[in-house]
Amino acid sequence: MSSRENILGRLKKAAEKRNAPTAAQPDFEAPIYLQTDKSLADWFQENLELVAGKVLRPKNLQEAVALIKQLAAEENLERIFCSDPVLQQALKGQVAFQNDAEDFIQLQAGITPCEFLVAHLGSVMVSSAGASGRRLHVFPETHLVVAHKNQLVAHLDDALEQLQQKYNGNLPSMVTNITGPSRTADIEKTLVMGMHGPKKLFVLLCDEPF
Amino acid sequence: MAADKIAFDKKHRATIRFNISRYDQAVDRGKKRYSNLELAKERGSFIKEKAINNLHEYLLQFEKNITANGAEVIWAENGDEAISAVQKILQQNQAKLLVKSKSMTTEEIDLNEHVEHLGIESLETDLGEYIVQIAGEKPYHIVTPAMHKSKEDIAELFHEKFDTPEKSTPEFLTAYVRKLLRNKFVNADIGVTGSNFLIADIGGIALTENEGNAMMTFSFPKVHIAIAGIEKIVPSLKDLGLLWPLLAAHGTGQQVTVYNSIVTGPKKTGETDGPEKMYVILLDNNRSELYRHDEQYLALKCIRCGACLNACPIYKNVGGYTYAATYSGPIGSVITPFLKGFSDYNHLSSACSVCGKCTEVCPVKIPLHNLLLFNRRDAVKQGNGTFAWNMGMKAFEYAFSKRSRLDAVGGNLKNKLGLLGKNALGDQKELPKFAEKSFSQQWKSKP
Repeated sequence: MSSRENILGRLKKAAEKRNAPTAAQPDFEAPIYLQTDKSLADWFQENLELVAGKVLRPKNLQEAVALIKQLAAEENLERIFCSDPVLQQALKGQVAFQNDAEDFIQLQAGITPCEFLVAHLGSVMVSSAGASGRRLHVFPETHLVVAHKNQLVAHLDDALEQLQQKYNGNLPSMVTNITGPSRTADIEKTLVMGMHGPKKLFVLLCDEPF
Repeated sequence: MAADKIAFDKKHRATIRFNISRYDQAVDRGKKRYSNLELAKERGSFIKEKAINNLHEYLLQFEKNITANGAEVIWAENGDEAISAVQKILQQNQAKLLVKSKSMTTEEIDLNEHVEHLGIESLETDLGEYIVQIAGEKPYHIVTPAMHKSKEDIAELFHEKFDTPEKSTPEFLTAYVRKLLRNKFVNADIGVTGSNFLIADIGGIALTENEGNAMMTFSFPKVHIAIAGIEKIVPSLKDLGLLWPLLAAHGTGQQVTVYNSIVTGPKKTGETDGPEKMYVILLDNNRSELYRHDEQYLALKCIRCGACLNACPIYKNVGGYTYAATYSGPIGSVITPFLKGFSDYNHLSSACSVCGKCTEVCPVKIPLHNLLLFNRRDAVKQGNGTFAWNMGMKAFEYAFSKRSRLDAVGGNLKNKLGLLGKNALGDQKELPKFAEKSFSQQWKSKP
């Protein structure tokens, strides 16, 4: 018999012998987190700022691009990488960007869209479904996410539910819920930002969808 | 280091107290984000109990679904089988460099040592794990591997190994490691991760981290190997909406950790990047033996947050290494006798004051201190108690089952009996003195 059959066989036999009663299901409807009267956008901003993320609130994509241009100057961002066709179109002529695989290792900043914004946690949910893939969400020193209000959801449960609806049984190979810049506290619990992933995370949250 | 030595090492105690006090402050804040933490824990407990009670069915579901996503599932009875599966993959890919993210399951099977033995570099990339790896040590704590080291200790270690400036700050050392490991991620052939959850209904693994090293590990190399204990199952993707924040609140006190990823397979057709191959190694390593025990099997619900370690008065004094096991603290004391044998590890079940703090803090409501008592019972049943202990307990039972027997001898003789053999309270404490007449006798003869 294979290891697979042996392991599964032992588990099955033990479970049948035990015949453990099913525990009573607790209430899965009642709220467990503190509630708020704030708008989803304000709530998202407050929670992301708690973990050192920065949120900018442009009116539309055009204004977002203008803010990125300003940020690029302030933060001395060179070698900006952007793979997403919609964002590339908007950046064209305003902010210089690269998208060649051979330049990837040298990149300093990455601009990506996202799947959802989770207000309760201040999280940005991204996936490998778009042109940004996996690496661009973690490799740059500075990560700029361009998003809009229709992507806001209240809780993580809502984001996971909508993700499944959106991809209908064909999920991307990677989905990541990002909550702030990379950090470590492995040395004496001292917080240091930018361990392996981005040192800075900006979310440009547009009022108008694009 | 032996428990009786380290328990009185004041520097060690101060480092641990400092680190755990930082943890306690953060966790207090994290728990305040809940309006009903108790209900959240009941849900967590329910989800994991359902998963464990139907383990073989969910494992089959997981296997079917992740295989359909293009990953390959390998079942391993023990460390040897897991290691030889890894070895085969390394050889097929002519690997020279393996990067890995933090995983206690890989510690359990000594993955680094075995890979290095093949002449292949196996590099930890989590900062805490990297520190203990270059120090030639094992993780001290399941969540905070270098908890036993002060920042001065670590600055000294890096100065010796890499000639960094003396007394470097944590900021400097973090930046140093970031730069050093970037090249490694980019050039690695194989990425190895653990898995915090195996998601049955979608066929995916979930990884929780703060640094981004796990994302790098499953994004750059052309092969991704995830090694997971069979108990990591959760029934559904939607369970993570509860479990990710709950794990963070208890593990570090964060609202949720920075990166929570789901990987459902290798790079899909049409995707930009990602590994060409993904393997999931499902490790038993005596978990099915633990599963046979009708009380202790509940320990398989554990989500490895580390809260019980930080809460335990014994852990705070004897520290992580004293357990001489991969999993330390209360959860380690419950499961290690099953994973590594009762005869060598049952003493961990007895090294407990049954204060119940571990049970109180557990986010999935494992009755840890009760399970330790069941371990003690089973050890005696299996004949793992020593002869002197068993005789002593028999004498104890005989004497204590009747008041008249207890009062048959006076305090003087009782005190002398107490000095026979080794002091059960250890060298640092004296046995309390018996009064000449027992309380019962004094009460009866009161005027």
